[in-house]
This record gives sequence, C-alpha cells and structure tokens, in this order.
Amino acid sequence: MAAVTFIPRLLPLIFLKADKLPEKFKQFLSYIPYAVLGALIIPAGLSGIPDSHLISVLVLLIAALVSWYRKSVVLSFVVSVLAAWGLQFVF
Amino acid sequence: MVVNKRNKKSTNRSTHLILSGLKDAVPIMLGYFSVAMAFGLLVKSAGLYLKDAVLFSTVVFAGASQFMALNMLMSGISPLSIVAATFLVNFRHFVMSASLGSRLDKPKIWQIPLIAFGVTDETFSVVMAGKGSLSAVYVITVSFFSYISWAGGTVSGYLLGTFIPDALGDSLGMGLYVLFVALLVPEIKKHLKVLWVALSSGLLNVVLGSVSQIGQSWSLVLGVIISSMVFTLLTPKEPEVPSE
Repeated sequence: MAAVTFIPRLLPLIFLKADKLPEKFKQFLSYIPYAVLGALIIPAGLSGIPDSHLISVLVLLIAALVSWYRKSVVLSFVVSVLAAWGLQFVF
Repeated sequence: MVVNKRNKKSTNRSTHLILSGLKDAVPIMLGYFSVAMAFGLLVKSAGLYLKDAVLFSTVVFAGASQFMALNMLMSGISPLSIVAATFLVNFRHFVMSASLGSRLDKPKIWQIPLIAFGVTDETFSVVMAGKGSLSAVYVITVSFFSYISWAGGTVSGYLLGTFIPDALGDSLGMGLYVLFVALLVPEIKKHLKVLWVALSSGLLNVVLGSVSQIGQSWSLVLGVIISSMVFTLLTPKEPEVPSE
C-alpha cells in the first residue's frame, strides 16, 4: 500500500524537468491546481458535514465570501469552521 | 558567535521558508488532526493494534485510501485487491506531482523522495497557491507539519477516542474543503477563467462519477485532465494564468 501510494507521487518528480518542458505543456500543468481544487470541492465538499448538504453548502459560501474580501486563508478557515460548528446546532 | 556572511544569509532564507511553510500548514494541520483522530478510533474499533494504526498513517500517509483500505480489510477483501484499489485512488497524485514538479526550483536529489512522499490533495493545493517557482524546503515543511498532525491525530484517536466533540470534529473536517475554497477564490478574483476551469472540472467529476464503472478517483483524474486540456487548447499563446 505504501509503495502504490508513493510511486505515483515520485515518478513525475524524477522524470519531468521544469526547464525542458514545452510551453504548451507547462500551461496545461499550470491549470491543474485549479482543476484539482474544483474537483475536490465538487461534489465531496458539498457533503463535507456528514448528512447535511445544506450546512456544507452554506459553509462553503461563507468561506467564499470571506476569502473574496480578505485574502487570509486562516481567517476564512476560522470563521467558516466556527460557522459550521454553530450551524449544526441551528439545523 | 562568528558566522560568515554567506551562511547567515542562507540560514535566514531557510528560516523564512520554514516559517512560511508552517504558517501555510496550519489549516491542513487542524483538518488532518480531526480526520486522523476519526481514523485512529476506527482502527481501534476494528480490533486492530495501535501499531497498525500508526503504521498505516506514518508509512502510507494517504487520507481517503486509508479509510477505504480499512473498510476493505474489515470486509475480508484480499490484500492484493486492497493494494490495487489504493493504487487507483492514489493515481490522482501522479497528475499533481507532474504539476508540482514543473514549479519546483531545482530540488536536491535527496529532497525529491521527501517531496513525493508528502504530496496529498491538501499539501499540493496549498503549495501551488502561490506564484512562481517553489523551493523544496518550503514544500517539505508544509508536508512535514501536515504529516506530523496526521500521525499525531491517528495516535490520539486510537488512545483517547475523539475527545473533540462530534460537531466540532466534523467542522474541522469540513475545514479542509474551506481551505480549498479559500485557495481558489483569490485566484478567481484575479482571473475569472480559473472559475471556469474549476467549475468544469468539478462538474465533469460529478458526471463521470455517476457513470459507475469509472469509480470516484478516476472521475477526478479524468475531470482534471480534460478540463485543463480544454482550457489549454482554448487559450492562445499568451497564457492568462501564467505560472510565473
């Protein structure tokens, strides 16, 4: 299990050298983080609070709002987690 | 104390990198700790030993697939099938490592396995949030503290149960998704295109995931690759989302 976890993480780091890649491929690789974030949030994040899509979605919206106005990951995290906690007593 | 100027300069740089790595790792650490506690507790309730829980978390260091493997183990599925399933689930990190590798600033050879070991959904997302090239020390620091928290959470969960109340534990787990949103939104503010990339990849993930033959991890990998590829092809020479 350790090997099959480690190897896919290792191979690209060994074989892909940043300065030797074609521009177009680099551009492709630069989109991947955003695509990954999208696919991590949708759909798993929508049920991040087990059994409550409503709270999960509300919390993600709160996180989005806070990070839109304040570019602090920690602030978004604290506010949203507290909101998630509180909302579980409301709903 | 006599420190030659050059050494002092490079020490300062390392200290700075380590501190910023630690700072960026904090949300991951909080989320990981509570999720890992749940894992530790689950291992215990499955009747396995503390050493099994610790080995699981320290040698494998892969959230979702650990839960999956434990489930499969309990339902008596053969070890070989578990390993195969783990490989499929973790293959998404292949794509992430490739993207990460293209931003790394000349890592030393001994740093590469350390970086590779620490690639998770969360550490990858956090380190890639910045612009420009990434120092190996910074990347390793983020993974290291995340790893410590994952291992610590597992042990605490096994020994103490989840002493954090359920509602708070769930909220901290939810915090990992909050983290993803908080990393994404500032980028969307800069380039609206980021929203389309993320949204299309998420929707593809849902659509492909509902085609049951593919399985969840593959739908994520395919969604990510397809949407990144489409937007690469749609974008003319000058990228609107440059890597520098």
